Amino acid sequence: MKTIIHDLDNIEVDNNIILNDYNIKNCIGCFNCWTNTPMKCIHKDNYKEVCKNILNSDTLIIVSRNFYGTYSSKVKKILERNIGFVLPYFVIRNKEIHHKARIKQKLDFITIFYGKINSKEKLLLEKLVNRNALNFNLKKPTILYFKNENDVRRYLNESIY
Amino acid sequence: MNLYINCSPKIKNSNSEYFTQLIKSDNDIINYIYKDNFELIKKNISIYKNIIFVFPLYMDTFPSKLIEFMENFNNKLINKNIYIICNCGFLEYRQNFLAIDTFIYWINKKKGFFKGYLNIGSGEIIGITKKNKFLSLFCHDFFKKIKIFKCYINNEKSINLNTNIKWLNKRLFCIICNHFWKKRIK
Ligand SMILES: Cc1cc2nc3c(=O)[nH]c(=O)nc-3n(C[C@H](O)[C@H](O)[C@H](O)COP(=O)(O)O)c2cc1C
Repeated sequence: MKTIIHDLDNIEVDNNIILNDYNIKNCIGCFNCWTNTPMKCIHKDNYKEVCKNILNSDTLIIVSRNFYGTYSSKVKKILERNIGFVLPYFVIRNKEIHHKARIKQKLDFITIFYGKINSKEKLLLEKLVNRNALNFNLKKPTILYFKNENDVRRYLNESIY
Repeated sequence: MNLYINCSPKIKNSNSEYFTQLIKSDNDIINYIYKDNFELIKKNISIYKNIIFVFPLYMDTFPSKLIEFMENFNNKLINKNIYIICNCGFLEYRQNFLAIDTFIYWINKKKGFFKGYLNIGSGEIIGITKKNKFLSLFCHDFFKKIKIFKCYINNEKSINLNTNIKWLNKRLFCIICNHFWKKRIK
């Protein structure tokens, strides 16, 4: 199973897709998804147990419009609701402090960025997804760039679904 | 007069707020990305010359609502002095460098003057010094740097500073934090 976190309008597929939902609530930084109710977010919306979807997947795919070398706010909102994917405990990984993984298996990690992207932004995005992979204990990311949403849709249809 | 923009979802309970209160003068103002209307913040940005963005590190970049604000910010930052105060939970302030670099890139694209940053590692623990004065002993470097940063902002000078809790190595930091997490987890 694959989990796709994205900010595209209208994509329909049977995979385990986390839809782009305009009403998703912002993480409030309360850490309840680590402490009082592990893996459950305090907000009672569709994303309440979203990290469980990822834990049950073998691949995490993130599709985002490039925004000055980082994620779009829509994608970022969903990602922040997922920190329960790892444990709160700290470990040293690659000589830096990171969170302890909840599962042993490392998920495949594909990131797809679209829109206008210059070389500086590519550098920032590459650093970002590599850092996310380290923090979430994912496999080394595959990073793809596309010009527009349609090209991403075509790629997803041909290669992912 | 300076404008502080608090970009933490924890608003007034945030470490960002604590750091801002340590630095701000009486006639400076604070706006909250997670509370205030974006139009009000934009208006204040157009009025104030020195603007300090104070944000926590969220998944190696900025909190989502700050990104939303930036997406909505179609203006330029011409003639504005922009400072950054960034804090993260992990011990190493170097984990903030990417977010700071990305923010500076955005400031430059908006034609603002990037004037400097205060980069704080172990922000959660330093935040506890608000109530636990004993812990302040380990945070002497932070208190020194925050004073220096304040002077530089008020004189509109450039400076970049890094700080975190002292006398703890990574292993000890993990042991202490894990003990704290164990107590909190139900
Ligand atoms: C959703 C989320 C993501 C976070 N990501 C990181 C991270 O990538 N690296 C890190 O060192 N700390 C991370 N933190 C911890 C915060 O940066 C830290 O708790 C900080 O002190 C919060 O500051 P504030 O009280 O001003 O919001 C994260 C916290 C949350 C809630």
